Amino acid sequence: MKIKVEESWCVASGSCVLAAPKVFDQDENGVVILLQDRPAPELHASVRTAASVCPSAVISIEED
Amino acid sequence: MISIVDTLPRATTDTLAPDLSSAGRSAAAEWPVVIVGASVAGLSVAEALRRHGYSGEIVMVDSADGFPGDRPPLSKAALFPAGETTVYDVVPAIRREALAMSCIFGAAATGVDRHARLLRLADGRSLAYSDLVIASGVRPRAFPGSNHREPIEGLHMLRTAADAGRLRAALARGGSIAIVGGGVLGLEVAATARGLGCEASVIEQTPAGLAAKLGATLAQRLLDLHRAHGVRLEFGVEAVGFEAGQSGSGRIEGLRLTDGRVVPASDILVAIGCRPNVEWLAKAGLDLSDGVVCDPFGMAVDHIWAAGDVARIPGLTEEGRRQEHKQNAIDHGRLVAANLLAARAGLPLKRLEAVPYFWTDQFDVKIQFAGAYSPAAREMVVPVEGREGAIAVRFEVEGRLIGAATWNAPKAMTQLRREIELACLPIDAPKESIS
Repeated sequence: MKIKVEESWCVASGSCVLAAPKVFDQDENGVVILLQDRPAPELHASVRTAASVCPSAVISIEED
Repeated sequence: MISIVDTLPRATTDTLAPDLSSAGRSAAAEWPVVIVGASVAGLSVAEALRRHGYSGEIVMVDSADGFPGDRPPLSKAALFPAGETTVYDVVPAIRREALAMSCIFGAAATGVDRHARLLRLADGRSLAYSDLVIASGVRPRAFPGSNHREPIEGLHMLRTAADAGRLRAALARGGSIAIVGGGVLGLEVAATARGLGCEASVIEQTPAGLAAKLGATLAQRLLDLHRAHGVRLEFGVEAVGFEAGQSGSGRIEGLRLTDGRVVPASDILVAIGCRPNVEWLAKAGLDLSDGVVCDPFGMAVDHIWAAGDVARIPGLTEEGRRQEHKQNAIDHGRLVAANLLAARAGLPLKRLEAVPYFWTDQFDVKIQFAGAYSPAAREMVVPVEGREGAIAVRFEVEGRLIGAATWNAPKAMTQLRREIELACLPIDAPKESIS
């Protein structure tokens, strides 16, 4: 799995952080920070959840 | 106009005669999942169905001529000149295409035959469904007494990209806008109009405006912010009509208030809330008291589900009031998809446990709200360290955090959302059950 985020469209909801805190964080303005772009398999389900709950659809996933 | 993307599924032919004998019932499981509404909630259902491994047919039906665009930008970025050329999709086209749905656009749903499991369309066709998802959304309430079917130049509503285009053109002309309704949408447009150098007035019939949604502290701060930026606020007074055509042009010239005053304006935006699109369900035998009333699993009746603005699903902190927010539509869609598949497999259904959340951006301020507001709650203001002017407000009932609001403090909000979830989740529901 490879993750990409489009920071410029982020609306700082923090929904991704709530879903997958090991993979996503926020800067002081709330904008998404990608902590790791190739997470371990045990994190994949939470990353898919994060992508699906993001209100601005800025997280894209390439599945291997 | 009917346009059909991908291939028409076999069940959309009007020759299909549903057979719900016992053999027919097992065949019915092979019929498509039909989703009425191609916006946030409908797309969220479709995406979650595929994510959970559903490989059957999905048919999406919408009365619009294509996917409705993303709505949060309509009151903000889409009103700036660059909004004319920017595409605001709910999800990127590549993600929609991966869903391999059949989409029927320009087709209004007109009724449901629950027993035969048929969705009727305005063009006379019927679609057989295994499960039907109602995500037909809401539409803006019209200005009382006006007839929006005959558009008046300068009288606006804001729900679609086309609406935003008309408003963008008005603001680009340097118009002065009077906004009827001091809710989130009205205030966002007022802020955007000021940012574009236009005059803006907001007329709100309740004296306190958003206090019943955000709490008194942030509602007051927000109005102070608007005043500081030169927005004219008329609260506690009603707009009763508009002045038009005095100069012979037929154009809007001002907004008339109950006290007889006229607020001069070249354009009027009516932003007084929305009503659910449920008229087409009138004979379906559903409970339609302000939207489609559902159980906590998102089910209205067997094989009929609802999601998004149109749906009333009781949640952790709400008793099932309709919520017109994007995150809510996403959460509903995920819930309904998971439960629809669980019901087919004979597995237990999950309750709606997502904490309600919305945000609004006005001037240089981001306001975020999670959970519920109650006038009975204790409202506590907490400073946010390291961010000038930022605050968080906690709403507690009997010591339990039921809601929270922040002013320019997004990281604090993320923590508060987690805290509300933990405070409101039933003890026997571990966090892992939310997915």
